[in-house]
Amino acid sequence: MVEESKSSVPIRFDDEAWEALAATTNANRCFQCGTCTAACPLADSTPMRVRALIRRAQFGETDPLIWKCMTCAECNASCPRGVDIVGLVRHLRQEKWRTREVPKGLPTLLWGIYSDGNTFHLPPKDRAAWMKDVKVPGRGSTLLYVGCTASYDPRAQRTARSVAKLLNLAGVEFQVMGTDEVCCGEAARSVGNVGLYDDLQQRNSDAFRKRGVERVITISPHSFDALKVGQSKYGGPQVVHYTQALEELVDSGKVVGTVEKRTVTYHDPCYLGRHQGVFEPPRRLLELSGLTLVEMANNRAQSLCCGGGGGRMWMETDPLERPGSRRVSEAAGTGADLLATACPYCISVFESERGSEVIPVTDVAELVASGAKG
Amino acid sequence: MRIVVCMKVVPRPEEVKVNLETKTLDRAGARSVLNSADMNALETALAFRDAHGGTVAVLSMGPPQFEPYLRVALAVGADEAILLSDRAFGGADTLATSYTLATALPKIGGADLVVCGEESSDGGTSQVPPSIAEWLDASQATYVERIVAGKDGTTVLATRALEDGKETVELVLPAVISVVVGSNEPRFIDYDRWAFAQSAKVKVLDFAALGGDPQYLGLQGSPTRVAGLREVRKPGRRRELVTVTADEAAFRIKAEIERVGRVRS
Repeated sequence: MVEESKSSVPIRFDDEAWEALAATTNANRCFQCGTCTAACPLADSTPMRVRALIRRAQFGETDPLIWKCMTCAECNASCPRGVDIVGLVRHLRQEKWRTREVPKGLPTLLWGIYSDGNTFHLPPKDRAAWMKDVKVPGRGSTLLYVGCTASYDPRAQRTARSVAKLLNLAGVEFQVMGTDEVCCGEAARSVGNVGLYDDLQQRNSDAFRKRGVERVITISPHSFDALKVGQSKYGGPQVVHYTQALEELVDSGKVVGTVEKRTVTYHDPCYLGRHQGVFEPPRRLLELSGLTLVEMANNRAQSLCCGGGGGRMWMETDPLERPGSRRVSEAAGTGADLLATACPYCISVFESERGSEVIPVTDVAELVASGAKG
Repeated sequence: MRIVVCMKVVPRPEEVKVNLETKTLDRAGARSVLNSADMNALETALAFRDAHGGTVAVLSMGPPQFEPYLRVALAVGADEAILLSDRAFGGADTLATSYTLATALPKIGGADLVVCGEESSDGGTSQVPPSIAEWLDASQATYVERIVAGKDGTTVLATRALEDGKETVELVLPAVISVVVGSNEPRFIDYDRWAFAQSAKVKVLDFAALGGDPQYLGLQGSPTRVAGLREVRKPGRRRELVTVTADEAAFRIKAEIERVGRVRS
């Protein structure tokens, strides 16, 4: 029995709003086949029905379940009509900022990003704390963009240090922005606040230009996606994820080394894989480090979302609706010794789902760094 | 209904140090922010305006550098912004501050309702809102967490958060209220208003424009003297790690709370 969601908005046709939406998302191509609903990882545990959400949007109505969406893009990947359903969800959320019908806590999140430049409500002066004893050349046109999570979250700081260590081993000249770095804006975009997202893209663009940055290496796939998409409008620098940058360094022999022989399974983060199509570099890095890769049934474009995207990191999620534990079980089921991924959100979610009690959760850069020599 | 929200720009509480010698706050290096409780006051005013109509003006006193913060309030939803700025206003304590604000109100079009935050994070006296009400001889309610319109638009019903419960009072307008910090979630900047907020004129009133009795203004009008200052160290936490079942833990915690006398049973 499908539980119908209720909305306070009366059903009405709003052709103008729909046309605006359809122009950017191809939503008018939707022929209601329901493939998206079947692909949605929330369909099992929540009343979310993506097909119905699109249908309601056609009638000018916003499904309140839009806030549950993790923007994992399984729907986009499965849609036979090429509808940008994630874009549609973001657009619908954007409208809710206008009418101030957003979940509690999100305005506070955005105030923190606006005034502190990060999603953690922590002072900018602490932003370089991740570096500890890491030395950074501080020159060159390559920038390591650390992002909020790897700057402030003690667990994710380890990933940033590992990437910096590997860049140093390879003799790459790079700079970091330290306490001057501000949020990439992905959190603002994911909760639908395009105004703040654009503001942050502008601030980052100005900072990149001032520093002569031609290449940006990000730690988080979320920063990777937000800066790659957002900076293109400014003719900004090339933006890559660290797995792509490290693959080049290992391939060219600038970093070598093998780690203890073990088996590993790799979880594709949504924003690295489905959103940006980067599937192979992290796998090659693991194999080049001497690890044996075993795949989960749901891999690459079929990867299961951890549940942390789409602003869900800042909203409460009923334990029964959290997809992360399912993914941890799937990883453990492969019999691998380790679960590796390449996103600070995924690691944070898996560890909070007690993933490490089932299978040790780690990051690709940390694994590579543990055995690497220059 | 014309609502005026009094807002103060304060140093970020976590970034200020206390200078024990001068007995003042050392703001060097501290970033500024709109006082937290004043953001709750602004939200209270905007929500009331959205429900019942009217206008919301924000009023602040301080140096010209405060202007960008008032523009944030405009971007959030305020209709106009006024800054009282003059060296003559400097060094004001709560008496002089409340006098200056109250004197300005008739000059900026008056107010049916003045909404303040319960206290500033740097001064922390909670004295300014009641003092404004006294200077204006207006109704007042402190520690308000919610307001609704009263009958015929001549009153508002204000629910106060008291230590032992809630109290709803009916205030005859004009009235001054102070809003409890954290009583609502301040709405975020509306970027559709950004261009308006940046281009709008922030009305600046100096001493000449304000008028008023100079002996009540600034340092001269401030009888408050900080007599002494001492550092109070936080007592260390008494930690104890006990490994027991959940039920046993509950009884242990209850017994511990009773032992330190925090619970009346």
